[in-house]
Amino acid sequence: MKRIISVMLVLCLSLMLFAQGGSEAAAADSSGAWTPKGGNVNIIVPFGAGGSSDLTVRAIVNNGAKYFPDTTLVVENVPGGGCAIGLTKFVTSKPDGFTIGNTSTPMVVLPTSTTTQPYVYYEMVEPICRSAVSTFVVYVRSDSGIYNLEDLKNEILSREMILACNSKGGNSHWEMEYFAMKNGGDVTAVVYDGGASAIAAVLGGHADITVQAPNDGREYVRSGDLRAIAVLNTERLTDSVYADVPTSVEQGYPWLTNVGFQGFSLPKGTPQNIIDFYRECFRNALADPVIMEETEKLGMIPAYLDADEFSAFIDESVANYKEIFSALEGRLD
Amino acid sequence: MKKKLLSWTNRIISIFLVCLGIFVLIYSNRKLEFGSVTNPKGGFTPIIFSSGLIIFGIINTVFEFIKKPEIPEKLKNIHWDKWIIYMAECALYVFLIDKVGYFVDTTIILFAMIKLSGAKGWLKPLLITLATAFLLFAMFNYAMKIVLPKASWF
Amino acid sequence: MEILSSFILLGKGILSCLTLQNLLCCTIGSLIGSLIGVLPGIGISGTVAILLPVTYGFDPLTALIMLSGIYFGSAYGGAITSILINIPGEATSIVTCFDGNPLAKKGKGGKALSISAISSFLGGCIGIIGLTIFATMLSRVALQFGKVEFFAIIIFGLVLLTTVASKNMLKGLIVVCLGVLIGCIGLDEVFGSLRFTFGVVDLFKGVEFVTFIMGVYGITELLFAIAGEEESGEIMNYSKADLYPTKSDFKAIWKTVVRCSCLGFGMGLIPGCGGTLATFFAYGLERSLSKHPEEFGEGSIVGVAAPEATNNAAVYGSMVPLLSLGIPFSSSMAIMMSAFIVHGITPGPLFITEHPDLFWGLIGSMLIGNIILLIINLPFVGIWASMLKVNFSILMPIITMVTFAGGYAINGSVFDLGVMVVCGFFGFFLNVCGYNMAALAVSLFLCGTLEDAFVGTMTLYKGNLLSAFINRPIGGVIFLAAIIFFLYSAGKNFYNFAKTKNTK
Repeated sequence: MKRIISVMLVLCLSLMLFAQGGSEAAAADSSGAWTPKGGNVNIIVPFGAGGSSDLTVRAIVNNGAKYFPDTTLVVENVPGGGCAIGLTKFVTSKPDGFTIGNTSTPMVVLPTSTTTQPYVYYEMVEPICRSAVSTFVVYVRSDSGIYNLEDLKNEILSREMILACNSKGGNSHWEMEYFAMKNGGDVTAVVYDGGASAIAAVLGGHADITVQAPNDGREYVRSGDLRAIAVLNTERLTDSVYADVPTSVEQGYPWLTNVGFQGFSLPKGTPQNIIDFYRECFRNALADPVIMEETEKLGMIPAYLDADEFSAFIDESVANYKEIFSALEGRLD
Repeated sequence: MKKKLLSWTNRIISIFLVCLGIFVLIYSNRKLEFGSVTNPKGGFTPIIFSSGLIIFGIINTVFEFIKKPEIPEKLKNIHWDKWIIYMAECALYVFLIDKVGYFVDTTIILFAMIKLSGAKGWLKPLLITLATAFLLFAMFNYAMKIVLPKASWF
Repeated sequence: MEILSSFILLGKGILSCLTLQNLLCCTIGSLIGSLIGVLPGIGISGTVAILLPVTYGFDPLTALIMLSGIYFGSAYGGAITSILINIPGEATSIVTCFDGNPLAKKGKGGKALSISAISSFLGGCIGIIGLTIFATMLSRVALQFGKVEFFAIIIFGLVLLTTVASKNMLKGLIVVCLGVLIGCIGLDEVFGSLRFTFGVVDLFKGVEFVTFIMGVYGITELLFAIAGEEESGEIMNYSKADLYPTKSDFKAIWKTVVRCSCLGFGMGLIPGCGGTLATFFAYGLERSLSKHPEEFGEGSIVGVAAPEATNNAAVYGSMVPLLSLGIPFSSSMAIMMSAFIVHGITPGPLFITEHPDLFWGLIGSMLIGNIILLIINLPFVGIWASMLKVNFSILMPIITMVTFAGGYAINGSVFDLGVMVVCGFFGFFLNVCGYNMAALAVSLFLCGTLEDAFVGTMTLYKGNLLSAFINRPIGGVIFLAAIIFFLYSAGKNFYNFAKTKNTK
């Protein structure tokens, strides 16, 4: 008897509330200024907590709260699939201004390099701004006898070289495939679950080459375990540890550069007033000297671009990558 | 009737698992690529393990049908009316959480569950319910800064 | 000589911890860790990530002391719910349920809790000693383990799961296959393909291990409690005598503790293994070495001591690659690494030599933290055990809500809660028919690493598995051991089965 009463109670209450409550909030008002009214805004970071990408976002959140009026920024890590899972979650979230995506190079690279992505991410975002750029460094073991890209080329042509990469088709994979292909050779790519594991593989002798962000390999260059043989950029790195590392351009391979970018976006369909609100916030936050310093400490270069310029930059990147990946045709799968 | 059904539990479950295995095998064959042993693709693992499931499942089903059907030990004392209500309450909890918000949903369902497990009276359970719901809400919202589902009008 | 100087440095490290600030942070960190361990669902990684900003103002040693406390603290707390209500608080405490809960049901919950605390403490001490002596020596060992070795270890793990967790190996095999299949759901990292998602975006990340555990252990257990016997509240009666272990208990477990701590430390050290798998290996090891293997699963204190010593030692093992090489092999260690970076220190091969005060201070704090936790936990044993005297009808629904809250906390996703309920529903029936849920959950967990290691091995050795094992002897030996173990267990199972058939 008691149980029947409790069940009826539950059913009645829930029906009442269901009838009253209804579902979503009224459609966002697309005119006039908008703020999150103090609510929580999730920044989806498609990288694992603790990596340099994640920490740059956290640097903004922890030091830049004052630039985001009426907002509580919360970092949400959604790692996996080389960013695919986080990006998927982001592009499919509601365009109500409460979800921001930390959209970086994988947003462009993944859909262009592999055919198995669930979405073409860069077509499903409204860019807010670009925050930083970063470059990549090619590492080999110190005892490998390889000192520069020329040596690497010879090794690739003479024996099977193993490349340890962080994800299939991503920024740690395609540069060396491209390099090998253009020199008439091939590398065997083995996928690891992150930069740390890839570096460990090279250290342990399971792989010969790895391409990582400068900060991730820094300690191993310093300790003498790894040798950095090239910076994949037009300029050398300012970090003293990498001062003597020539760029790929200097070594005669101007087509082997890869500049990664980091930026923020909103899901497609977000009303313009919401986009403008965040454009203003991020523009102020990214000019903050503390945030810029933190970003540099993490190995990235602050390089702000506002929404329209970022949009153009993205289109340019897409075209660039499409060209490279069509040349690679299937080597990455 | 109920006894017969319950005593067949082992058999039903073993048949279910075999069917599941068959379903996965067919689905993987159609939609996923097996690749090859040297170059495995997405369908590789599912096909191998669903085959394993089918093989072992069939052997198991045969054994279950050879054995005398018995009500499993753990099912002997289950009050099925309570079971169904509890599961319904759990499902309702998940269903409502987006619609009425965390606090309200927790309060309703927690109260219903406490009454279901036989607590006497109304005031004490209600107070405990509200206190627990509030504590959980506070812990998540303020201490851990995790966004809890909110109702549109709460 | 080097070992002696290591201990002297450890002593100095301990002294540097004895400031009021450091002691306070150590205590707070380990207590928070214990609390996180008790609460199912809320994990270490999330907690450390949340506490990280709090520590910004602290100086590096203090901050790291507090954060590291969370790691080993959770290895203590996880056992409490495992023992008392058969719901593991942490993945590393799943195995503790096997014998811990039966002990509690027999009225010996207090004893199980104290054995677990003491084993955790001893396991921690041995782990710390290991860290002290071997940090520099063993760092390079971890690097020797590549894809082939992972593959072999995981196959061994899966074989172990078919035997250690179920009495019926056939059901164990079914469960492992099922677990791997469920683990295939989602956007697969290795192949980049969407599997079994049926277009549901929320399924792209697959079924999360912790969500699954909370469903099949949490919801299922609650179903049993609420819909089961009325007098379940009385089961937790205990006598004062059974609250703490006796001398004979100590004698029974000390060898186990030493063996399992070494195993846990070693397996924590190896990338891709971690504490969870180590607890299963330890349980299997102890059961095969025991003179009374039939006691396992019915309430053997050795069955509680083994996983608890293992999971604590594994925490320190997993810190070796981080502290000596700067390579975090698990996601929880990755967050620890970010804690270092945020305070301006990047762990790497030069960390120990460049920051000895930090390294030894940290290790010293772990020793002190373990002592503090033991001192705090033991008197609480009685209190925890008596908590179950709280009106069962109120306790179980509250635990339900906490479980749901924890399940939501993992990803902030309501869909996960739905998954939990579904898993609980199916888990109930599977459990009742004798399929072991722990094996199912861990197989699910291992699926990703299995595929990753298999594909890596195949890529490196061009599909020639034999040459892979010849070239990587460690992997070959482990794989061979797995096959032998499988044949032996299958044979034993079949023999027992034939025997019972004959005696009918």
